[in-house]
Amino acid sequence: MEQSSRRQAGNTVLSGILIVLVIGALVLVGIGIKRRHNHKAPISKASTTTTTSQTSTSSNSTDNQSLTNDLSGVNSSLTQNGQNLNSSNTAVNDQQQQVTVPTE
Amino acid sequence: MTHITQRITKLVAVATTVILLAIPSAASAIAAASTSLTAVQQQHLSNIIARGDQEIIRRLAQLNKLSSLITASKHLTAGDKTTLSAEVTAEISGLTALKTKLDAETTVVGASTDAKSIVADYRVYALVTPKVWLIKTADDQQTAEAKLSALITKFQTRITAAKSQGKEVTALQTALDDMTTQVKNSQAISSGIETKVLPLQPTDFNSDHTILSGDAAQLKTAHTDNEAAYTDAQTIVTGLKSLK
Repeated sequence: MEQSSRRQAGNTVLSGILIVLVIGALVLVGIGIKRRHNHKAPISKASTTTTTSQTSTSSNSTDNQSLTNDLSGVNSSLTQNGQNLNSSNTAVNDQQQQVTVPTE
Repeated sequence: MTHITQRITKLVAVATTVILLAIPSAASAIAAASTSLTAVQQQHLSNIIARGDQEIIRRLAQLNKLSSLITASKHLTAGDKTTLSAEVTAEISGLTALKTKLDAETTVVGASTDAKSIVADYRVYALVTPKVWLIKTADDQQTAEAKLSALITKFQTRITAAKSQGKEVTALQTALDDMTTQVKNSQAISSGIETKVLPLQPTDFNSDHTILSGDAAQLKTAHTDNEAAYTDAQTIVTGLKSLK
């Protein structure tokens, strides 16, 4: 009877220890996850900052290239317009010369 | 007395004979003169028709060239293209019909009226040809002006951003302000010419022969403004690239 009672008390203690260990393990795992999360966050932030900076530089570079291309397009248009303007004046002058011929 | 009477009778007989002989000759001379005048008129009519045909053919060739120019043009707006094409087509149809009418004329007066119509009603050389070229040039320039305006917006964005970062952009902003002024000036000229010239008709030219005076020179000024704006744009791009 006394032996059974001791065994039961021993089991209760063991169960308590097990519960404490499991809870402890869970707490540790939880802390670990939290630490890992906190540890990752700064890395992620730094990474984002770097990307933004790179994007900004890249964006300016792209813009500069885009502006150069636009400028080239304007230059082509102006060159063409200059030639057309000369053609136009030549055409009008030719017609004016023909106008002096008899009827018109 | 009897002797005198006999002599008078003889004279009258001789005179009568002479007159009777002369009348057919005179009639024949008058008839010949009349025939000769008709031949001159006929020749005159033929000359007017031949010359008129020549002038119509010359104008039709010119109108066909204009039609090709309009079709091939890349920067004419859809509206301007439609208006100019319709006008040129109407002139071609009108002159073609006028040639048929002229060829069928039988009087000098009718042919002369047709010949005058070739010039006054169509004004192919005095109005239509310069009109097509002026509108085409104005539209070409407006395309360049639109590109320059788009660049102005991009430049302002970049300069404002650079300024907010504490960079020195005074010279760039000055160049951009000048560029903006140059483009505004050229836009005013190009759109003004387009608006003024597009509705002009041969009757307008008949009322005022100086109606197109100075338009080509104004478009040249607009082109010079655009070139100045382009020079500013080059300065700005170089400046933006050198900003650290």
